[in-house]
Amino acid sequence: MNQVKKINTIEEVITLKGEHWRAALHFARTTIADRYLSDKNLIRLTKGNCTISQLELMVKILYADSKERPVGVTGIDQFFYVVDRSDFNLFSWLEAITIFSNWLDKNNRKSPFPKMLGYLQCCEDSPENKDVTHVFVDLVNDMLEKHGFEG
Amino acid sequence: MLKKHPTLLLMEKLLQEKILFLDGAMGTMIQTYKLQEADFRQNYFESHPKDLKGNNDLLVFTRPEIIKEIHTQYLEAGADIIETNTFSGTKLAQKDYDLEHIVYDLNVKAANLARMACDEFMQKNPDRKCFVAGALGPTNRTASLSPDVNNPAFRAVSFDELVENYYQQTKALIEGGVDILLPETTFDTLNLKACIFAIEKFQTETGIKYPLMLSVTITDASGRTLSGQTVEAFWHSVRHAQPLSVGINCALGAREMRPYIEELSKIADCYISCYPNAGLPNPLTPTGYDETPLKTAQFVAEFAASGFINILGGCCGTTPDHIAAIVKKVSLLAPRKKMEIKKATRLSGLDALIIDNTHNNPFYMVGERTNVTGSPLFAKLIRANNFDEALSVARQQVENGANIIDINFDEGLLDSKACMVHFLNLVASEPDICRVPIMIDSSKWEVLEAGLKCIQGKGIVNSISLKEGQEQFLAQARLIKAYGAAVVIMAFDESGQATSTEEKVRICKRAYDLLVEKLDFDPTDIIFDTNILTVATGIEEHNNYAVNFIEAIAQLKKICPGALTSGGVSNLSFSFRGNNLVREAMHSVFLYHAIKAGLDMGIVNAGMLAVYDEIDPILREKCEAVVLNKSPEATEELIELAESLKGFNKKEEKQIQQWREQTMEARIGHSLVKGIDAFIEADTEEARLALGSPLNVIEGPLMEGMKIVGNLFGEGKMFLPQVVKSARVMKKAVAYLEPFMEEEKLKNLANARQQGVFVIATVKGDVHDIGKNIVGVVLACNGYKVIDLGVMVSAQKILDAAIFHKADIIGLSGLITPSLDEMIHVAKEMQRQGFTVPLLIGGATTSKAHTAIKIAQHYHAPIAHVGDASLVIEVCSKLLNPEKKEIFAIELSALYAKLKERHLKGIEEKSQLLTYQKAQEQKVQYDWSKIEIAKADRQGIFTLDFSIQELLPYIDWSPFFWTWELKGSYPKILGNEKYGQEAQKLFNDAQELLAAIVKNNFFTPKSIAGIFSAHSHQDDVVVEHLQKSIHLHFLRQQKEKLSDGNSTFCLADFIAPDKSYQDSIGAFAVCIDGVESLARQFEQKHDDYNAIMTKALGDRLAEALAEATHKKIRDYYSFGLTENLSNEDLIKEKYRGIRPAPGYPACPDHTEKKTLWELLDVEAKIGISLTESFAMNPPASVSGYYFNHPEAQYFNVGPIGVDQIENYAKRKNLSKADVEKWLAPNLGYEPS
Repeated sequence: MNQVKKINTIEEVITLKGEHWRAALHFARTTIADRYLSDKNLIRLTKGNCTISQLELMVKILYADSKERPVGVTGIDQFFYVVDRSDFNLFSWLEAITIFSNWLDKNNRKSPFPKMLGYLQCCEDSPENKDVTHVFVDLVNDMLEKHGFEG
Repeated sequence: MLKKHPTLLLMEKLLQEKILFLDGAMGTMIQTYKLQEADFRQNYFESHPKDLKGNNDLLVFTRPEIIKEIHTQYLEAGADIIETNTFSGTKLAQKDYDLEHIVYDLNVKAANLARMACDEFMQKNPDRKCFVAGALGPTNRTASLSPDVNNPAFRAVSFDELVENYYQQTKALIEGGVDILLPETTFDTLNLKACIFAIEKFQTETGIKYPLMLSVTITDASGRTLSGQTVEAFWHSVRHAQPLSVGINCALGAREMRPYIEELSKIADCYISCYPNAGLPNPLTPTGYDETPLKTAQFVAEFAASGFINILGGCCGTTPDHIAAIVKKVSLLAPRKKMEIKKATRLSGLDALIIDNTHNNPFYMVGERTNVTGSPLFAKLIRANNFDEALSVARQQVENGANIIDINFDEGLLDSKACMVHFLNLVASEPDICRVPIMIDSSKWEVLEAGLKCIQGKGIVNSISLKEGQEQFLAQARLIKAYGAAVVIMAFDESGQATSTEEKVRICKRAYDLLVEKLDFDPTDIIFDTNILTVATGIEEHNNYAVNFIEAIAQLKKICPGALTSGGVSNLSFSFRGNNLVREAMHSVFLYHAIKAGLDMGIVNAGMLAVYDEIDPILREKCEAVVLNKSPEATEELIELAESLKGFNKKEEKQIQQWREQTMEARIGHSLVKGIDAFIEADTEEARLALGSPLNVIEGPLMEGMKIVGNLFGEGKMFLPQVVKSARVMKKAVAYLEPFMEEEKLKNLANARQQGVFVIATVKGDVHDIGKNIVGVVLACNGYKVIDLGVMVSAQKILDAAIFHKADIIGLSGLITPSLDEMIHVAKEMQRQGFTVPLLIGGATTSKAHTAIKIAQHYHAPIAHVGDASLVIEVCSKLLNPEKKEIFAIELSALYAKLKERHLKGIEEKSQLLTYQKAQEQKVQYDWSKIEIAKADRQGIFTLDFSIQELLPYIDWSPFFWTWELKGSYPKILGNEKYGQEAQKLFNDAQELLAAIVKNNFFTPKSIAGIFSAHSHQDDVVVEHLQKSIHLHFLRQQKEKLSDGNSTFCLADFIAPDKSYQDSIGAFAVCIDGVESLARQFEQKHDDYNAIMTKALGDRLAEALAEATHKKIRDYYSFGLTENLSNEDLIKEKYRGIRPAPGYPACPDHTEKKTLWELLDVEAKIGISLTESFAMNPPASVSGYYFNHPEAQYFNVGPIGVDQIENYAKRKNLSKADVEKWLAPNLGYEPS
């Protein structure tokens, strides 16, 4: 069980993860308005094993989401809500989003973020995912392979 | 009439001559200044308590020089129109910042600033004429969508609030000096309709018509707005505003916008604007968009060259460079010519509906069943507050072809206005219903007006009339026009209802003239209903009513150009109610003649109209005589004929006759495929005599028929309920043949053709068998000999039976988690005893992964998991086919190896948990002194009495359909495109059986519940009962949370930690007695269909009993007494409190049931026993706890660490290994 050190500022994230994160975090901070991704939530996103490319992908997704749905619950709040109710951790979710996003790109498709989250929740709720432990991306891959995505 | 503002006249002239240019983005331009929080505060909002960065509208106060500079840059780039920086200039939008009070000043200031920039620029460039457009954003609320997915009828903003907001903004913008009003970025048309209403109100007050530009946002490639409308439907909804221009902006780049601009340019009879984003979002660029000015200009120049455009500009990501490039490329191109559009009635829901008055248009059906005065079913549902099912009535109408749906709640005992608003809000969430226009039907103006405020489409008001005089008529019509609806005018005036042709025509013509001349009402928005009155009543003067109607519409079509005609058709045949055959025939005959005379639409029961040519000639002749009043005897003659036709369903009779005329083989096949058992014994006997032996019948037509059933099921063309019905027919036929087979001693031969012997059982400790029975039926249908050993079968008994029956395959089933361990035990025993037959695993808790990781290693012959009854045949044939079985076994091994590897990797991922201590520290902290702790009016244990009848309203039907492998939720499933029809049949059969169960008292509900003083102690709840302290043990989440305020949950958190708070906990157990014995009776009659149906209903009733018991307990706590919840609300658990069950996600330990049983003395009191796996017997049982904390909620304990397992073992006085066994699915680690 890991004890996670409390990080409060973007500078602390850079100190912890390395200088090479500065550009990615700066890019995130200058791209999305606070309302759609506050500093606090940006720091949360970088938790655990999150990679730079995963962060950049999330920024891209959240940015597009803020344009598509300028009102209502923000994409990041929806995302954290879903992760908190899942048995899988944040990193597993970021991996799953990456896999799903790559699949969409490969198939020349697009999907609104809430629909992506809904699909991934369905993957977690798959009849296969009970009683024994799974890797989230495996469940997502299985689902995409077997049923595709009709959103 | 409003007077046109000089700017409007000037702009109309300019737009005929050239394309005008609008400015580009404001928001993304501001972003390039990299402003900080201080920039949004200086001099004005220094001490404002909320963060203001990002509230760009404030910059007109705090950094006006920046905003003016941006305006000037756009003017210099060539823009003719600049927009004020007021996108969020409404109270609603500023509420997020607690700045509602500055809104008026903000708009005035922003308008002043833009005016100043514009005037200064024109002074320096006298050859340029530039304008200021006041931007009115969409606000951050949606009037036709609910932000709460669990409550689709909820609205975060009302039409009236929007009107108030927009009125204020309009007034301030005009006061500040804008030339044009520009409501833009419309994602919800109802918001825009409110804005138009507010502008109209302002214009009426000032007497001036200002230039109005409307702009909608198409959100994605679906070509619809966020609220679901197509471009055309949107245009129909807002056309009443008579804008200077309509256009599209935001969300899409020019390339993506092209088809929608093209469409709009072809349908709109005003000028067209377009201001796209600079391509699609790309956060890697400074403005967030990466389309170059040249690229954007090239795209929009092509629009202009194609003749689509009058006004061009840019939205998000565009800069002065973009506008300059657009001006350069486009300024020499000719503008689109404003066009006239064909006169037609233009309506809309999510889709557009055009009724072309000038031609022989088809007859349009207005669905009548969503009317409480005309449909007893709809009225009953509304009275029972069952709006969800009422929606299915609307859906049915649309599916049956209604082009428009009429909605009416005029009944004395209903709050018609509230019902109308609630229902319309629900309809708005159902795209398959609200795609058609809505006809809001009421005799009360307040209901009509409330309805108009709910619909984003262009609907119809049904109706107004001159009954209360000209003044009220015109006042109502004026408002209808402002709301943007068409209107039905009834042939009524101050002297009453018109019945004669002349009166009908006179009143309608008067209304038409008033509307067109006094209000400039569009004639195509007028629909006359000249009253279809009941004929054949026995009163002589009523006989000519239909003729009068037909004559009146023929005349009105000539003298009122553009107007439509309509009528409520059902009224005509009211005197024949109860005789649908005659009524349908009368309606068809009437419509045949009325349509010829010019009837455009009618309120009818869509889907219940007979085809004129197919009506029995005698009936048609009699109906025609009545409708056209051909003779004084016509009514008497039709009444006489109607008597003889009562209860006669001609269609059905004809169909039966047709298939009964086929060959014996075809008839047997038909009976099997359709599941009809009425004729099977007679046909089987005929086949036996014809084919010479019973075996030939089985192997011949019966097996052939079942082969078709099997194939159709395999292809997904038949569904499980149908297959089970087919099996029932097959069983009946075989049962009929059995005595003959005995006689001929052919029984062994009968087995010769069987596919294999399948021994199936629900494992020891488990009593659930619906899924197992379904698999058995499917196997039997496909020629397997099925030996069903029943439930709670020990490993040895299964294996003995397998040896005795020479099983080819053994199948194990189980529902509860502990059954998984028993399955492992059976597999181990099979290995130990040297079995080699394949083993099939199935049941709700089983999975491929569990089979691979936990079971497969213990038995070395093939083990396959079957997750769905429809897959069992394919798996069995592979396992038994000598050519395929080896390959299949290899495939299974490879799959299991892969799954095992994945499982191990998954464990690594799951190991990131909080320590148990940390998780406890992070529990939700309540200030118990402020929590309203519920106090019950009694404590102790209560045995509660309910009848089955009382439980019916509490039934949640969705899981019933899942049992039959029909996925979806009730009632929507009944309209499912693929299997809605089968779902409806299944539902009807269930209702029939349920009625028999109620009538014959087949089932007895048994319920026991208790309320006890309790307090929490860490993660336990200590219950005080009979001077004993009993500990209930709960588990805590250990997964770290991300969201603010998300603590780790444990059910004990919902009980106060100290006795002094006098908190309590509840517990209950319920069951339905009699299910098993009734199912057995059906099984004995070879009727698997009803046996499975009985058990499925038993399960539903047990859940309903749990719901009803919970309701009673909430009443004891008094907060239940003030609830007013529909069944749907109950299913969604919208009440205070929860009732989690041991073995389920919030308290996953099944063994805690033992404590519950001791506490309530369940077995002695109501006879539910627990098996060794803690399954409840009878299977139709439910048990759990009641937590009444106002914030109590369901959650999933999820993965837990070894530290909590050790603690839990200590608390329960069990070994760690025991706890790990019972909580295996929750272990966040691999036990040693």
